[in-house]
Amino acid sequence: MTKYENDLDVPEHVERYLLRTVVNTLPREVVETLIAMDESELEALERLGKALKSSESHCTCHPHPYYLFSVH
Amino acid sequence: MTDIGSARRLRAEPDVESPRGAAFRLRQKLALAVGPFRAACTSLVEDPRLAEVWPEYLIAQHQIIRATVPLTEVAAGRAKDLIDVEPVAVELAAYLDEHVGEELGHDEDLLADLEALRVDREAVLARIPSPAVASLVGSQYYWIFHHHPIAFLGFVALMEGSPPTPELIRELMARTGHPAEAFRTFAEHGDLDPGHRDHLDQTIDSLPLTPHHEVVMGISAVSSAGLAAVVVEEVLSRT
Repeated sequence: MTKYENDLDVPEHVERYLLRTVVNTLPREVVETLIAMDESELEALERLGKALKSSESHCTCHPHPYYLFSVH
Repeated sequence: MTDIGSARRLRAEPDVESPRGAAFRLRQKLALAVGPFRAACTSLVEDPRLAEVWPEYLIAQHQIIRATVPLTEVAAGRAKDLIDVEPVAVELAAYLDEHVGEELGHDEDLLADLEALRVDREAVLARIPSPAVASLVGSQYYWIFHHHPIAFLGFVALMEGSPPTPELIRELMARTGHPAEAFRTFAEHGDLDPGHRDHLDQTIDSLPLTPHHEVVMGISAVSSAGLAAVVVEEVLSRT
């Protein structure tokens, strides 16, 4: 079990995911969300390819305007 | 032992106001997954051929939306099958029955928007949906029939999670030069979907969910976000 910021326990499957994707530049709430995810959920997330890398969801600055919309 | 994040971190203020219920957790997972979908939506809006591409995008949306009511009815039916087995099924079935009413006629609305762009409905209905559309919708049928209807809530969370804003619709009209009649469905969803999203979140928070149910919803939501991006990317690459 790995520690994040000395107090969050990071399960091994989350650590493996982080090492394969974004390593050490995530804010705490993203790590908290990842920790709450099951291994199969992380696999689905990883299959998105570079979802985390291309996502600005863990960053509050948006240097380029973006659009996100869907209808249902 | 590794200290992940010790070297360089982007710290964010803790969001102490947010309720930490199941709906919040699902939205957090979706936030991690929507990057490619957001990139595809942005490429669509910024495409210099947007006026030409927009009808193709609406056709793909129609192919998805025309399955919404049948999908919801199937999920409601499967939930009712589970009422004697699982506590979650009663409220899930009730929500889905109500959700059917929220979604009726939206496929017809999109066909009317396309007619405003001189694309007749027979031509739309004759088009073969792409494998990505079939995968996005078809995976829901699979999970509903062969695993658990709770999966459908992950799909709904994505699809109703980012309704078009009035600003977006004005920008789309300006970029395409298309008339307001071609954006009636978008305008209607901009009005309705925030309420539907809140209704869904309240329902998710009220359901007696197990950790397994949350995982199923999470996988469904994350997978749907990826496939929704592919659908938009396909529209851009085809046109």
